Amino acid sequence: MTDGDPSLQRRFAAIRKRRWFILGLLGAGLLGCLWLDLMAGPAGLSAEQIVLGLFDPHGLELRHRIILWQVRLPDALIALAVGAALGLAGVETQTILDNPLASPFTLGVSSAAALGASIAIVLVPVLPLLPEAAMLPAMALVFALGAGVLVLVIVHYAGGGRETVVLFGISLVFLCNALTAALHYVADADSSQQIVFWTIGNLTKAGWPEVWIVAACLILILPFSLRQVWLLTLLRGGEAHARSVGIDVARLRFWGILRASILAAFAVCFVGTIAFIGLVGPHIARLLLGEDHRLLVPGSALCGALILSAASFLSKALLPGVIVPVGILTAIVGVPMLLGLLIGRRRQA
Amino acid sequence: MKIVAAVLLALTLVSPARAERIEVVDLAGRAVALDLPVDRFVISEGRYIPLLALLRPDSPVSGLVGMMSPLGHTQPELEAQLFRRFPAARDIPLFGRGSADSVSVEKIIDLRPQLAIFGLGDHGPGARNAELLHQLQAAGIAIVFIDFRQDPMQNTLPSIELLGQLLGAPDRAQAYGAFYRERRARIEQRVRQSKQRPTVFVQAHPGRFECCWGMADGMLGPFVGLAGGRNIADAVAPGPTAQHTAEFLLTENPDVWIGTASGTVGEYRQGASPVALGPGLGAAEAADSLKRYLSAPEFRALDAARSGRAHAIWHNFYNSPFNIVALEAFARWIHPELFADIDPQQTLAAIHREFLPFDLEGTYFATVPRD
Repeated sequence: MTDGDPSLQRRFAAIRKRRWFILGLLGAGLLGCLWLDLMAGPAGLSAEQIVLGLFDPHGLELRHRIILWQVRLPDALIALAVGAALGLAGVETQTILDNPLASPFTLGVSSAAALGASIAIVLVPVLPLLPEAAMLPAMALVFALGAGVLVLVIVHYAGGGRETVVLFGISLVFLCNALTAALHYVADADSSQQIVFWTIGNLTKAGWPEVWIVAACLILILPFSLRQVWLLTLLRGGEAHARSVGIDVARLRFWGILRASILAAFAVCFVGTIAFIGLVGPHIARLLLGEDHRLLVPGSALCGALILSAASFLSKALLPGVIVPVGILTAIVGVPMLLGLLIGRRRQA
Repeated sequence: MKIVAAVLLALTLVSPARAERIEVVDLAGRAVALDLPVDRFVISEGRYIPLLALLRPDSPVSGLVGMMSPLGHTQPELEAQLFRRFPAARDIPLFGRGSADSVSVEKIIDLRPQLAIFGLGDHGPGARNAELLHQLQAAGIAIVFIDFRQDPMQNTLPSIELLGQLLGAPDRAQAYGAFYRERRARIEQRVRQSKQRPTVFVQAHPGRFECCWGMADGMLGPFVGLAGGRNIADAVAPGPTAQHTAEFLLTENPDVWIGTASGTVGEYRQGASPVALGPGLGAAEAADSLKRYLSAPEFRALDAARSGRAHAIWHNFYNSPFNIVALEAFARWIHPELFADIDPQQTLAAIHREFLPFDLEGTYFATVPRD
């Protein structure tokens, strides 16, 4: 056994190779989706014009330059950043809570963000030094992070018990939804409509500053997630097993929830509560890549970005000239992907 | 002889109190029978109070025993004027808040109105709200629907005439109808003579909703066609209103851009982004508010914004008996050469002078200056 079974080793190497290949394919698919997303729109920009415009913006006429750089690019890129952040937050939450139904939204983050946004829309609070346009995302962010902090406090006092965390998170969802409903009740019709559309999620709100902020958040947090991929993989073998080999599960859980909350909070605060991606992105990645978190963590981020990018493309392409809010489309895109994979796996087995 | 005189006297004493039963068809197409005069009635939204004032300028709220939402929800400054002139208006009970879901049927019944006036597609109970209508009818309350929102061009005058009839002011309704018809006919006639149909985009709530919610065949959208323009949102939108990309706007590059401003003077002075119009706002401030919004790069590239053909109109005209001024503004903006003699601001002033017990304050139209 010291040399290992050569056939087993070969098979493992083959599986590993195949999985890296799939990860590569996901990356290529993502680039393809990004390209489709950049091509979609009523202006009829040709592929050549887009490539030229990307490298030499001033080579385009003013109107086309604005369409490419102020309208299409920020929307397409925020789809990638938000999708990746939600996918990453999703896989961390699912692993850390050992619950396939968990998502960043189970922690109450998105409901809290919606509550913050509703307060900003209905009560129009004014804070010094904060421009009025930044009030809504700022309130959404503060509330989302606040929900994260509350959950972390519970993690701390509950000694990291995962049922307690999930139960508390879901209670928080109900509480925030109830308070948002109360705001609907006092709001006028236009404000109510604004809240509804905010909670559906829409990428057109985002400009370049928003793209940079979400991307920076993702880039800063991803290395910390990647540093823990070994521990996360071990945790998938069961909490008792992980403890028995000396892993401080409570600590792991604390940091994981912290990362997921920050990611989800920044992801939703600008574009609204885009649902489904944090839940299903990781499952699609898991079906394709297995439980090894070295691949699963980046894979979930890729899948999240892929779903949202495809949804973003559809949101513009379905009805030319009109935007279908992307939050309506994420599940419509994601469910067939998931079903296809489940059926494919069944056939293999 | 004495007996006859006594009987006649008795009859004349009795007859004003004797109810006259009439049957009308409301704007939802429902046949409604009720007894006149109507001494007690409720309305859904306080925004119908200006209409009551048009019909009965000396006592706009007499007989109004309840409403769902106050006038202040949409027009706080006008409400303040109303309270100053007609202090009784302060004490009108409310039977709900901002939406149909908040309506207390029990409260309406308790207010003992003979008549409930609701609007099609306003924020109050709708014509499909069968349970509520049934409950009110069972309590002996007649319900009529009026409409200034779903089909403003067809339904505005019938709505006013219906209320004129029910609230004992048919001549006031007729007078306003003549005023309105004359102005609408002038626009229709000149538009018929012109072959040109400039392209127009009507954007709802600029600065409050993100870019670009267009009005297609809903709200003020149909006014574009009547005023001799072609509404570019109408060709692509799946519903009455829809969100378009800024790209759509840039690609279509409409000849005329019209924003329906829902910002208030307070928001403008705080530096908030919604384009502002309405009471308390000066013409220069209104123009500045519009200019501020149109300085974003995607609007800078629009020909309309550079050539002085980007305008703002007060959002509340979309559900108002005074929507004729919106039609006039659209006509003047879409065909400046045909309608140089039309001034919607003057028409609005005339409506206030001749029909309303309120002073006109503030600015209701704005145009961004040519580069």
